[in-house]
Amino acid sequence: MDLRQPKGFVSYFSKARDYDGVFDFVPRAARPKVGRPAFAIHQHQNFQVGAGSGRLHVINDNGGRLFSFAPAAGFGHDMLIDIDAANAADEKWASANDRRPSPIAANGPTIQCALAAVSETDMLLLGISDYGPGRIADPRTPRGRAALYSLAFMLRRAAAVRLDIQDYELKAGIRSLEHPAALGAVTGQVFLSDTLENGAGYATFLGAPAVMQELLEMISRPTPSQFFDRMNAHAHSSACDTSCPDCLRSYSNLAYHSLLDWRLAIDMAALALDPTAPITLASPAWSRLSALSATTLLSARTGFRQTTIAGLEAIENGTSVKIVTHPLWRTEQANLGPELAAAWDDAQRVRGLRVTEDSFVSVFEALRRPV
Amino acid sequence: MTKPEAIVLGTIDRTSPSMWADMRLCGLRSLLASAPRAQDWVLHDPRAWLGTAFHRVMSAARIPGALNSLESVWKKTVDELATQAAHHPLDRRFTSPEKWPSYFIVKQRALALAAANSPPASVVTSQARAVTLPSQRGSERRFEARAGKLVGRPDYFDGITITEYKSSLPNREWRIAPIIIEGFQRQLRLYAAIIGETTGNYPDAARVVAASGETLAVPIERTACTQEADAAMSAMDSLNSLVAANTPVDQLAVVSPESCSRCFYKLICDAFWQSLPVSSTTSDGTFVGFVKSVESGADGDLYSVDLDVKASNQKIAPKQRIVLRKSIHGDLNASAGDECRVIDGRVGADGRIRADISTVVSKTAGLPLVVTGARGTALTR
Repeated sequence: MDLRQPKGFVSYFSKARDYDGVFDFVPRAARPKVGRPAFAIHQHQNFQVGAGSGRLHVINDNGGRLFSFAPAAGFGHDMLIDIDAANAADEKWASANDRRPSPIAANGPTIQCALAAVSETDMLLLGISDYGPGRIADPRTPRGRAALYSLAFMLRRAAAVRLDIQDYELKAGIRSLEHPAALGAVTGQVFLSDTLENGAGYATFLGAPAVMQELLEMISRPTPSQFFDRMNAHAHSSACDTSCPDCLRSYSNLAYHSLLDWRLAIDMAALALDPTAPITLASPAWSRLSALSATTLLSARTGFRQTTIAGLEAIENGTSVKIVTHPLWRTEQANLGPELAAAWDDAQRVRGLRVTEDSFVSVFEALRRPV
Repeated sequence: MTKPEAIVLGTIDRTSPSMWADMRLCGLRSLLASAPRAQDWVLHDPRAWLGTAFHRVMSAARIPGALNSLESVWKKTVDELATQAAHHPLDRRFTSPEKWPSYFIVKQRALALAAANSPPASVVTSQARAVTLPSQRGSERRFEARAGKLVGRPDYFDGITITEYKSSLPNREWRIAPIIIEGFQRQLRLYAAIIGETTGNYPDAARVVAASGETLAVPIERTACTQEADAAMSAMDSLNSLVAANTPVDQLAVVSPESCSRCFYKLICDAFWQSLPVSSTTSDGTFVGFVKSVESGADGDLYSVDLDVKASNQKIAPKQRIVLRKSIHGDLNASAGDECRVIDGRVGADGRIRADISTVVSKTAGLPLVVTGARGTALTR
């Protein structure tokens, strides 16, 4: 891909309109990305962490279609214009103002490219080494991305508390990579980078294994900082089903609000510290939500009744079944963990229900897309 | 790197249902299956180990009052298999049983089915036919026929019915399902022939039981069983004649997509690499190529190898960069110009091959020659 970083740019500079409070928001283009890091990665407990200076890319590839730029008459000879976009904008403006549009034409070769804002800054990368059998956070799935982004933004919040800074002083994101240890699997890493160009030193400090361990402990278990306790307190846990301004949401992660989940962030942090950490829907934090998910699934279907299968909340109609699962549990038959293996066997062999991979619905999906 | 000693293939003393299945596909494959040293270059399938554990649990469940020990039978079996894997050059990537494909579902089904079928401690009767001696019933009893040249250990024989346990039965909609089912049927017919000749009484029935509880009944017809035994003996005799005549190994091999696609011995089979039969699936991207460079990754385990492809079994990009892990694929220890063999990589839509846990990569120079008798010592690769 031809990736270009313009020295400067203007958009619709000839017929500007005032800001009316509406974002022209393209989350895909706004997500920061990192490439292969140049710094060393260290294994510590059940996570791999590394920090150093690196390049942060914010890429806009126009939804994969790339942009077409060409020189045009009437503009400076150093300027390249997105002719189609400019003409469309002009037509719209002309129509709104009862004028005749004045389209421009290319007078030179067209360049197809993506646009990038590349900055050199401090960053840290964190990956979970071993999720344990039957568990994964696959960034290709919404629930996998939710787990990774939730961990990333929870780490940012914990870091802000630890360093007494504002959370927007750090950027958070995820990175996908092939996972050769598991068939066809892709795994994800989270990264934090300093917002300040050339770095403020936050990310390199936080990327030290001992400091990262401290942050993960803050998130996943009671510590003197009371970071975990506040999230897990009844007042919050009984009111917040996914995320809220008291736990994960802020203006600076607006684009990710629908993905963020504080329970997932806690489980991911616990896994990063210990591959045998229990990831279960029976825990106090998840049990209410698991029952709520089954009720939601039931409300969206007729002829089903609520039941439990091998200890998991489920609904069934005598032939097919929907079983509520943890978002980190794998649902492919070859990769089931003990909880879902027991549920699959119970539903299929004992109760005679038809079970496929689609019979499993995670809490994440049940609450957002119950149908 | 020191080149391993050549694997010298000799004549076969006896055949069995599994060897007969190999022999029907490829003579060389059955000879390699009987050569213990060839196993060092085979990446075994953990699903077969799960089948073994499933079978042991089902066998244990036949002992009255065994209900409480089933879990420990499972654990002991998988621990043994994992220990064996840890000492194998290629299988050591599978030392964690819980990561074997379908581990938990097979375990769950084995324990649940066994518990459902386990007789209470008070029941000690046998439904076996009186004419069959007690020593001729039970799990993995060895039977010998045709003067010891035909042997078999059926998973379970109760004096009437032969039972073979498999981790799964093929989905009948699969293209190759009829071939797999026919293989099961011929295996059971041969067991029936061996038992019939050994005990003087042919089993009445045979069946394959899958971990799902699904059963495949195999009709036992004496003439068909005898014909199966005759065919197995005849094939062994023919193959032995060729081996005794020091026939070169490439003339014993049957190279075709059908016989090679699921063969365990591809890595060391020169006949396979000389013609590389075309594969229609994307799960077995196999090629031979020359190393251009090796680059280490950031974590000390990951590394990538750039290769120029010399020949492949399907259309792939002529230049490949494969990402490997030392903990899974071993340290290739290769330098520029070394020839390498890559088997069972995944082919992407862009023609790139991606290594996964089933992929095996080896320098050609580090592989042993396979030869028959004295002739082989003169062969060079």
